[in-house]
Amino acid sequence: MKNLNMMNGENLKVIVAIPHQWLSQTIERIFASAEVNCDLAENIEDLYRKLAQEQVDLIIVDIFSYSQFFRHTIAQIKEQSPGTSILVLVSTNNSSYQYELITAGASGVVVKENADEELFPALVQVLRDKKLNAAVARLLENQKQFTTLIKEEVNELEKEKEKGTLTNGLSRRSFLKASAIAAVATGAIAANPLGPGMKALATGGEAQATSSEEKLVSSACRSNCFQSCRLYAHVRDGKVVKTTPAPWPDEEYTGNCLKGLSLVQRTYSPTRIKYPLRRVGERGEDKWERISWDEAITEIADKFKAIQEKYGPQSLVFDVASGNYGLVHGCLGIFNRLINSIGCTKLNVCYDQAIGYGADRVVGGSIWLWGNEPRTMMDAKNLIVWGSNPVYSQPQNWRIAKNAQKNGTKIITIDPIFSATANESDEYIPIVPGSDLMLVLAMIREIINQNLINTEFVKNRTTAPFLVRKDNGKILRKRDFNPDLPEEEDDYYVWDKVLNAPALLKEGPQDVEIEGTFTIQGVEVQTVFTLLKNHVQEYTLDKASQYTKIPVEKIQELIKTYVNGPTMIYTNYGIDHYQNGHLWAQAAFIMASLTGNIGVKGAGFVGLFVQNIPLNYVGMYVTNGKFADGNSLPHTEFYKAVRDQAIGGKPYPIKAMYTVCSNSMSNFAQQNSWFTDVLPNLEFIVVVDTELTDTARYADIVLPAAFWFEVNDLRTAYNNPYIYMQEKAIEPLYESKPDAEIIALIARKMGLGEYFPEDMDDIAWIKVLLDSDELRQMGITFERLMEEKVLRGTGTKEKPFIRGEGFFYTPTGRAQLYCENPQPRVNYGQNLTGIIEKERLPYFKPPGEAWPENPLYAKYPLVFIQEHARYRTHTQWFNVPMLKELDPEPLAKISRQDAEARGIKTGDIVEVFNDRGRVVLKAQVNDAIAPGVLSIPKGWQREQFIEGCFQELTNAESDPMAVNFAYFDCLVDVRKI
Amino acid sequence: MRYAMAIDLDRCTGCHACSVACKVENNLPNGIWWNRVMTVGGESMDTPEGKFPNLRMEFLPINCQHCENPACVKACPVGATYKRKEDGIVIQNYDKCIGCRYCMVACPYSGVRQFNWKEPEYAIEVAMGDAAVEPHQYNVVEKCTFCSHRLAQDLKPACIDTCPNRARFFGDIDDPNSDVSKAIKGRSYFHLLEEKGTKPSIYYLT
Repeated sequence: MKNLNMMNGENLKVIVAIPHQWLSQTIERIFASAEVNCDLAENIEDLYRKLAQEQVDLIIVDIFSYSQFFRHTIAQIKEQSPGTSILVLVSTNNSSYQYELITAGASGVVVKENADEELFPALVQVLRDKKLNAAVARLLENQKQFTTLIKEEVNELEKEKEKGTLTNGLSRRSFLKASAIAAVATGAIAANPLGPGMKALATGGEAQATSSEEKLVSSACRSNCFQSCRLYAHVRDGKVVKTTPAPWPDEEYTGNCLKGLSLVQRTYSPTRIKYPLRRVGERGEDKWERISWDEAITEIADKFKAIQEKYGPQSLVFDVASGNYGLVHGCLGIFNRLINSIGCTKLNVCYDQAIGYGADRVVGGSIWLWGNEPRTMMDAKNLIVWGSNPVYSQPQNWRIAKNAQKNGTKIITIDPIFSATANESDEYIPIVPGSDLMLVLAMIREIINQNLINTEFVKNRTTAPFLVRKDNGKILRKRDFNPDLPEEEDDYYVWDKVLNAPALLKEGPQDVEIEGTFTIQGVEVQTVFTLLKNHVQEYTLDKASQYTKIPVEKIQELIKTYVNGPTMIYTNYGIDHYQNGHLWAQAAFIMASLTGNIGVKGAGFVGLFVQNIPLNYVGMYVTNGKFADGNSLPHTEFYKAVRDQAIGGKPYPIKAMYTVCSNSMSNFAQQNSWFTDVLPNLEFIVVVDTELTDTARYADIVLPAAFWFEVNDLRTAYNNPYIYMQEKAIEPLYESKPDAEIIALIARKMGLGEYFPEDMDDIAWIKVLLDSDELRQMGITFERLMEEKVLRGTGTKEKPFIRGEGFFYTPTGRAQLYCENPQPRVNYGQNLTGIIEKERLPYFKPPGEAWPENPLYAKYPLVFIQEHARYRTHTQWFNVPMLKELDPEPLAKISRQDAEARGIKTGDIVEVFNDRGRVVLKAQVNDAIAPGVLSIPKGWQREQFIEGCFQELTNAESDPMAVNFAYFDCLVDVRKI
Repeated sequence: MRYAMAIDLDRCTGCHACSVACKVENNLPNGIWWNRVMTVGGESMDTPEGKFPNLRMEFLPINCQHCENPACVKACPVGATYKRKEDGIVIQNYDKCIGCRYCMVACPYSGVRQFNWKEPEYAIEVAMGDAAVEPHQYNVVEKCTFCSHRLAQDLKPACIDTCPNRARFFGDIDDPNSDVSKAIKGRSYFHLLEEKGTKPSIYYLT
């Protein structure tokens, strides 16, 4: 045989140590075709003998076929023959040793079953590393032949296996997922095992696909926990296999939590609803029959139409909450188009409204626009966490708060229990539940009396100098003296301090009085500030200390801290869950306005930052000019309305309900009312969900919704300043359908096809939403979003958004210390006699039920709160297997004092009860709980309790102005059973 | 080089994101957790010690400590567990492990080594995490691998960048410019059970 090696100055020597003849001989033939000399070693000892005799360039060894420990084999080869490249063959069974082999010193690893694909590139790579270019060239020439050779041998091998002549377990060739690993193994790392593989590891930033078959899809966690996290869905073979944090333009916002990281198990949940179900048997019996989509949609459309014809359009109710926050498929999405087209009733959402409602009286913003972008916490001197537990419920916000703390911000937590956030704070102030209102009123009194106000701010940025008529409580305007004046020419009276005379605001007096009583053209007035000052005098420190059980000195210290700002208040809905919550918010925003702790750097309110993005909702919501009625039926009145088939005394038939983005039966207060009043009086109930929640279990038809990864959607974030895409990662599982498609199917069956064209998919609806001139001016377009996935909606990188910096969303742009004309959030015909006037200024009223002076307290002395656990967002994630391994069952957290008084120890089975209901579950004696308080972290479904359910205990009573569920405004007791 | 991990206990809030990320990445079977977060405080997880309102709790994530002087390696009768010379990772070889569990007895960090008492079961049918992760085996000990399969691809272990509190760091402790070296610099820290002489590679920053 012509020895080309010699002619080219190359002397390539190869030893093949493979016990199986068929494979060793194949390799021999390959090298022969490339005219490379190849020696076959009979066994390991033979290999070492040959190595000792001469210098070898390459050894191909089927390493696990020999009894010697692979590390010893490689070590010995390297010792005897330091320059030799070692190409190791493994089988699929032990292909996971690849990394070990490489770091032990192998130059390359090839899986035998894939030899036809892998051996050749591996050989080429190894030989190239040795600059054996001539040999490589020849191999390349013979490539096709080479591959065919191996294929033949693999087939031979399979024949042999069938005949039973092979002893080791080589399996049928299949595409190996680790082929990419093999490619990596024979690539960069092969040249220097301790080189590139050990280079500086990437710090943060982009996540990476770990193999060539893994795809990263830009995605969103859409539970509406107020964090709006961005994540990557890692997709392999058409399945989501994991989720990881995806980067935001501002790195501070990047992150997920354990819930977002567990989404694979939620997606492929063993209890995921697979197909449309129709109830057989009684509601709640959990007996279902599978029906087709066509059957389901037909029945739904027919029944909806029939009920609306018989009882009127309002008798059909759409019950949509906030469980799914996507602008197409979620709570602000396409279902609005349907309900407007048919003009039905939309339940008015009655939770989490009180804080925004109270704030709106002072700074405007229609309930949602009161908060700063979280990054603004970095500039706060003090951060008071009051009515929230961000460590559990907003962990991304918490990270920024922690950064602020490390940067010098002092964090104080005020909370009835020692929350996880209290644990991280510089100071914890315990407070009697529902007494926060008294504390803030007393703080206002001290701030005013001790002259701690920010006079500049008060004069220029609040309505303090406005004049309130003593006769009717209205603010004095030009029009009071000239009723025919056109509205544009109207103006507010103030008192010019310099001229000591009345002036009009727009005239821009040099200086204004904020205190005083005056008479203008015969009308007696006093300044808003004077009115407020007099109003708060009854809220003394002593009274506040008595109600809150906070020592007077501690309150004084708190006031001192607050005014030594800039001070920011972190709040969400803890205080909202008492009937007096909205008044606390009104007072807190007034306090911030008096001290200049709002609308300036480092101050204001944080916890819920909602963006005001001018999307084309009209394009999606408006069809034939009809509108759903979203005001007549609030959640809080729901059970009564269905029971009585009347609202506010007027007949109002309510016969059918479609529930989506909600688990109402579990999350509305006073759960037993569903059994006594709601279920018996609703003729037809449809629920759309991914799991059989409490609400779904009691439905007549359940439709399987596609989950987040199975659709495209758009999200404007809460608590970060971006708009972002969620790209579809996988096909809808089983027979589930995207929410938008379900609505369209129903709509078409109801004869509304013209508004729901067949060719409109979710991408098309996203285009509709983004079709807005204002958006285009902001640089936000469909094309850019599809390309960049994330666009900034508010603020800038350099300057995080501060709410109210230039002006507040009020008619005058000023913070309103006085609410001239308070209106109920929803007017459903409730009795408002004597209330409107009272609500112009925040005043103290106790919680509706949870107050020691309530006679009921003698019977039920524990205030019942339902903490938000880190494992669930309300009831979402209630059934995720790995999260249940961490948090296996519902617990009643009881204070040590109350537990000891009742003979209760951790692990005991207890009953928590009141006149409305009961729940039986395990007890946990927990020192974090204050005496007089009991907490059951919420989110569990009825079937997860031993008996009953936590939601049976709450009441649906609401403040007539806030019209809001007061979940914590509830008294219970507990006993061991 | 020596791989090490630093965990900043001042930032850790016991949120379990790292535990979940690990469980997903490595497709851990039901009941198996390589990375657990202990509460230093009351008797149950997430409860504080003290008397209301003067209370305190701390959190301690624990995984295999990849010790410099591992007790498990000495105890293993078949050499299934060994410390890799190149980078210090303590490896558990599933194929060689005979399930005697001597390593679990020898290791002073109770629970970091987990055992498949029965055939591994999975809550869902989809295999989670990375394709290169070794399949789990009945009657075999398993534990944190410092995500060696990810290190092979120049990626950090799964628990590092998934920590929302930015409390976890990883890298070559012999390299002063690595993430872990920079995290430790100027900080006080401790190792678990230092008196046992195992010399863990996990640095708890205080």
